[in-house]
Amino acid sequence: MSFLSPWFFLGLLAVGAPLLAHLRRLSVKKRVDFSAMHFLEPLPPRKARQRWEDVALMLARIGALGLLAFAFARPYVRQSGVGVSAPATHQRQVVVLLDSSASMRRTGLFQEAKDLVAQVASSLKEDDAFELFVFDRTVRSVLGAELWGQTPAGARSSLLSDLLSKMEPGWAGTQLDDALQFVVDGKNGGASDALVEVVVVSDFQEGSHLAKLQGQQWPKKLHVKILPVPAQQAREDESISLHWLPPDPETASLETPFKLQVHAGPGYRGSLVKLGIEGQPSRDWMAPVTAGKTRVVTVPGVPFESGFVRVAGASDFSSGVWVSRLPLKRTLVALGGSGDALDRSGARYFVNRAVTALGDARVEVLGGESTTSERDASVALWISSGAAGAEWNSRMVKAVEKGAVALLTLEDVSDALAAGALIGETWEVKEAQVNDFAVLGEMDRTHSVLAPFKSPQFADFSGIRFWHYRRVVLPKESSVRVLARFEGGDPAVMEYELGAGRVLMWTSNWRPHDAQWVLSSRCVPFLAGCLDVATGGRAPFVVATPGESFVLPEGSTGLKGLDGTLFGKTAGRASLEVPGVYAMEPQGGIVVINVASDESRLAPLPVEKFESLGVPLLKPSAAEVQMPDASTPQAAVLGAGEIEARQGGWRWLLGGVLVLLTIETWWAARLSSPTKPEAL
Amino acid sequence: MSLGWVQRWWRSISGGSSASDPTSRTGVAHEGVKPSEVRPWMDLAALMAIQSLELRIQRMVEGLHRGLHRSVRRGYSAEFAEYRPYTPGDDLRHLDWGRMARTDRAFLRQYEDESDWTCLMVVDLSASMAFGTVGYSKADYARTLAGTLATFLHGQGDSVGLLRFAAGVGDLVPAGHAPRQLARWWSLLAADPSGSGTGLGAALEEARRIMRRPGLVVLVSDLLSAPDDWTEPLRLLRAARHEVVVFEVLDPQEIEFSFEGDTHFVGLEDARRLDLDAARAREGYLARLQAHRESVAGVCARESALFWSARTDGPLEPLLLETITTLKRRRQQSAGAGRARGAGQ
Repeated sequence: MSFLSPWFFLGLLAVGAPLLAHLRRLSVKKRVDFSAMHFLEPLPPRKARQRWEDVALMLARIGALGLLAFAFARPYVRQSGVGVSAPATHQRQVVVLLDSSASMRRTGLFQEAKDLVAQVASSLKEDDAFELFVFDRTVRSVLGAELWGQTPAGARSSLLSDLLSKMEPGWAGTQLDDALQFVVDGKNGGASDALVEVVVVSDFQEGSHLAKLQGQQWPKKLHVKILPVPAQQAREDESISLHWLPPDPETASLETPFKLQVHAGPGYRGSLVKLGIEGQPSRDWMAPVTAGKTRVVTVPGVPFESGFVRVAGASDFSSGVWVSRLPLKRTLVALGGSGDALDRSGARYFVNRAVTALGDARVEVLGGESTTSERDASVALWISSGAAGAEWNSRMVKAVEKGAVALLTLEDVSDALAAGALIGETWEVKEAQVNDFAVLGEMDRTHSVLAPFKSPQFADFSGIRFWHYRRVVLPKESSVRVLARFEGGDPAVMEYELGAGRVLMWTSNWRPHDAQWVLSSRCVPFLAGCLDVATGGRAPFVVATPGESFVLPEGSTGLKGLDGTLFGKTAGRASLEVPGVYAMEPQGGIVVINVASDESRLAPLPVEKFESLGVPLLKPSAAEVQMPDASTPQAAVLGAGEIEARQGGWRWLLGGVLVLLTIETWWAARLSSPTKPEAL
Repeated sequence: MSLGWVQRWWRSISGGSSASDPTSRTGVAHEGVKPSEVRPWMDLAALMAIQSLELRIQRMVEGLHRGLHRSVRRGYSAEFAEYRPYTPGDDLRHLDWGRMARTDRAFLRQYEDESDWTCLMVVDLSASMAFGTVGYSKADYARTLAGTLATFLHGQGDSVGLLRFAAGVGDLVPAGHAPRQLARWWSLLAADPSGSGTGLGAALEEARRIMRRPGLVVLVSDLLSAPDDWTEPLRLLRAARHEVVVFEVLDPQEIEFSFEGDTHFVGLEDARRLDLDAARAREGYLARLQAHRESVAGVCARESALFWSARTDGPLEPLLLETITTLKRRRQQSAGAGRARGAGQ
């Protein structure tokens, strides 16, 4: 039995109070100078029973005070000392959980873990069942009980050695709770009554996840043995952990400072941490941090795109973090058409303002004049708001055929006919006869460019008037999709594919005196939709841990590492096992994979942590390695506090105090009540 | 489970006397005089806190007069006797104007022609009277009681003397009218309780010797000595046609004996010592005390002495008023009997 607050036993000194009172009662009497002495007669001596009653009363008071001090000392019973030992005679099912998380990558640690597994297997009897799983984020079976049973006893050792030799630790975090729950779920409801012994071989570092074990129901036949792999004394720099705080992807650039969260463990004795970028020894800088503290350090703009930032001089995985400053690929928009860029009577002025208003740093608008054929291949969206000229149109068509998107407005009937001719169709086109004005009616809001208008608050187009547009009658076999129509049924927005790209066109032009469209608030989201169609959506920026699954955007074919290694995707998702910086192909999104920061918390877990969670621990044999004591007194107290809170022994003690006090009160009242006259 | 401790606690907070107390002041007057519903005009604790006995008694007497609604000069002895017709030269102050208005005839009121009463206050100041647990002793209470009554009687023209006794007969202030009587009383009453016994019988015999003609003898004592010692002297006093009033003054602790725990009792009047568990000794003590008090009350009843029992935590005023009222009635009865005897002759 241990005590959380043993200094409360000083309260036992109060036990002396009733003792002294009792002794004083025996020795010292109150003196009264009395007048009616002749009415008093000597009494026979106090009966032995009454003396015992006094003693019992004193003991009740002492007991109440003692129990109170005992309760305040918060006693608890450690379970490790009373853990059952594995019965030697019964058949056992031994399930080994081998930790292959990133923290096991420390020098020599995993090899020692494998040796421990081999040691456990060698101690088994022939009839014992054996299973081997490795776990980090997930649990994976390495050796099943069936294969173990089918293998001749003499060949089991070599089988296990072969399997172990192929195993290496990964980079993922330590989900120890998931692994134990996996075994409990597998063994629950089993028909066999054999004792299930779960042997966990791990470094039991502080960052292991155990939260899900809270309230876990454990089968009676299952016990857990923890076999820690003895790690070398952690170096001082290993107590530093780094965490990258990703910047806003919208504003990320080479000039933007980036932020690191630096945490110093309790073992760190310095006040400054020297950080550096791997491969750039001249770029070191100092971060002020002391033991037990966490600081966010802003690193000024350093001309590198991505790399591994680590504590200078450290070589361990836990003291570094991958950082990416790779700027996202910019989307070029070519804006052509007639009219001056500053002429507010033309559409070009407003389109230019609308595209700029997107506020997207990744968009660069190229005016018709600045567009050169050398950059045509990079332009994703071509917007023509009027007669842009044959040469500009020719370059646009070529780009669209290679995959770009064009947004056209039909200025007149000839433009419409030319647009149809591009796909070899002959459209019946004439100038629409508009009475007063026309408004948009039917609309395909499932299309990407019109998807922003799905929301009812943006669905009303009745206030946007069109005074002139071209009435296009498409042939029956036309490949053109009509995305929106005017109320009369005439096409308003059309789309067709041209080569690898696609063309979007309005049957109205966007000049303010012909239509209100370019002045309306709907124009900007429409252009954003066009941009998304042109770029395949906004290039994502993903930060994940090894093994963590994330979604790749539509159109992305896979990921490419800095060294050029390609990684595929499965059902639109991907996961990467190795930390690093990866680029999405072909859009240019970025994925940064870093080891979970919990893996950098390398201090060993106190055994009290498992006890407090109610894990049915099995006492390790003498030959096996003992669980180390709590790394810090605070950790031990924390674990003990949880055990004590769970056991709640103080409640019973306080209940005992109340019972004793009730008895004492009743008894004292009974003794002090007048007694019958004694026989004289 | 006995609830004795609850009863004691209730008594302690209510200040009342136990219903089982057979000798409380309000229930022992053997003449059947119902106690008056008299509201004390002064808090007893405040009164007893007055150090000067003279001043304390002065306050009491003033209140006593207010309680009687009579002037100090007239007193109860100036009693109406009969009417007689008016003759010229009579003092008009005694004319009954009301009767004259009703009958148109003038009558004079005539009063009893009373002579002075000789009173002797016999006050016990033995060592047992030094006991007290309410902030003052029985002796303090007895001094106040005797002094107040003596002053009142002196104020209405009676001759009042004072005899102090302890183990033996002590000092005496003979009965007299002189104003200097008062100063002599205060000096005599101021003596501390002392002695190794109570010479009650001797004191009563001395009182009989002093009182040569019938008068009033007022005894103020705790009466803790055996009744056999003073029954005969009391009988002789009554035989000498003295009116006797007996005040039994007891402390609440003597009546209730609410001591707790092991206690070392030391006698005030003798060197007797006892170590007792007070709780165990209580029942026996109370039984013996009750028997004694019933015996005392029985002796007084047998001798037709007016007996009053007083707790020192009880108010003085009702006690005094009832005493004076009863004395007045007895005096009227004896005067009536005297007139009858005179008429018969």
